[in-house]
Amino acid sequence: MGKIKPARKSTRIDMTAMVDLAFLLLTFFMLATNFKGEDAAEVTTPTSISDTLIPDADVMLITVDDSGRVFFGIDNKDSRAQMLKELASANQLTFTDEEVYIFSLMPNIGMPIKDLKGFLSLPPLERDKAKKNQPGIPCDTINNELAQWIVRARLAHKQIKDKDLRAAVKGDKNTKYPVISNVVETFRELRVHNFALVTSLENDPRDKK
Amino acid sequence: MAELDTGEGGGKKKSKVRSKKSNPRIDMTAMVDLAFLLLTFFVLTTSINKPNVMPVVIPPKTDGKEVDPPKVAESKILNVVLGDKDKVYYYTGLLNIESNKLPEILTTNYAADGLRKVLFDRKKDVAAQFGNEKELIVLIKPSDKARYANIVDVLDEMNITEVKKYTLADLSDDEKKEIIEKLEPAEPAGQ
Repeated sequence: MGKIKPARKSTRIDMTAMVDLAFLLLTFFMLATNFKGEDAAEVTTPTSISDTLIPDADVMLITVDDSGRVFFGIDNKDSRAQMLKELASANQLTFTDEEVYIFSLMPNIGMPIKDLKGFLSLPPLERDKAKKNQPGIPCDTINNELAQWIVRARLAHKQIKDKDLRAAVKGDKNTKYPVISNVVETFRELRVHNFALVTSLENDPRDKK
Repeated sequence: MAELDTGEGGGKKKSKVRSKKSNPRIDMTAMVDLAFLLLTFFVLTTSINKPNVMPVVIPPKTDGKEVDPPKVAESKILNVVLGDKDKVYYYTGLLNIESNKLPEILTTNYAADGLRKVLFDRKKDVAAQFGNEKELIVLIKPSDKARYANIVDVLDEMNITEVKKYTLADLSDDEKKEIIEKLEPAEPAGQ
């Protein structure tokens, strides 16, 4: 037995099937999913047995993180632009068209109204940094800007899509009650009596039989 | 490696000379890489499931007019006070320091054998006393140190135990004195 190398056969795999599979999966994910919105703050919602799904559209989302910062957002880009314009005219502020456009791209906002102009006029890199450090919308008895946002959002959405907004509250597990109480009181003042709390699904103990 | 037959364009030639060129084969590795890269991108940045929500209804504001609440038998009312560190205090009836008749304040937790058991027991008591367990009224009063998860858990328990009459309310001053200050000493405990 010398150094005879065995004759190598060429190993050629027909990859057509693999490519088909890959593109099929890709098409599925492109069509059946939606992009996760970039949240202004990390929020871990508490669990509940409720399996009602969040409505598809016409939702205003009030996010409260564990340090009590309140963020507000609506899901329609045009309504967001309109909401900013209405807010501007009610507070004697002016925004350039570009600032309105930048605002309409953000799904959530969480800063006092007086800081809006400064924030929107920042260059992109600094704006992204500031986005992560937003102080939250003031929502206490002295200064309830959340109420203003909700009112303007409802007006704007009614104008753009002629539909009513439904309120949803996404709170963190560890948010303390006083902030939540302020948000609920704001709802009560604005006559929002039906709203939803975003929760993660847990098993219904009644199902065990 | 991967093959793709680029067609038999030379098949119709009448010439009997077969071209000695083998059909060029395209290496599909790059295409596969691209496809999986895009697939990974979409898998990681999108979500199929929509978040679940729990519907909540709050009673409307009484426009300044102090409407007397309807008279209800005190034993139908269960007050659940949410305290710090996931503790739950509960008592039946109304708490009024001046009346000198303070109801017994008990403690429980959010486990299945805690609040849920209390609710089921109270429902049975109300059914025995008033004939219909749906008469039980639960007043949920979160304290300032309660977490949002506590409130969601209590509302969830309302749904699980099928209590129909419940509401979120504020802690009264009497309750603050009796429950929070007595049972939850402020830290650091300066004795």
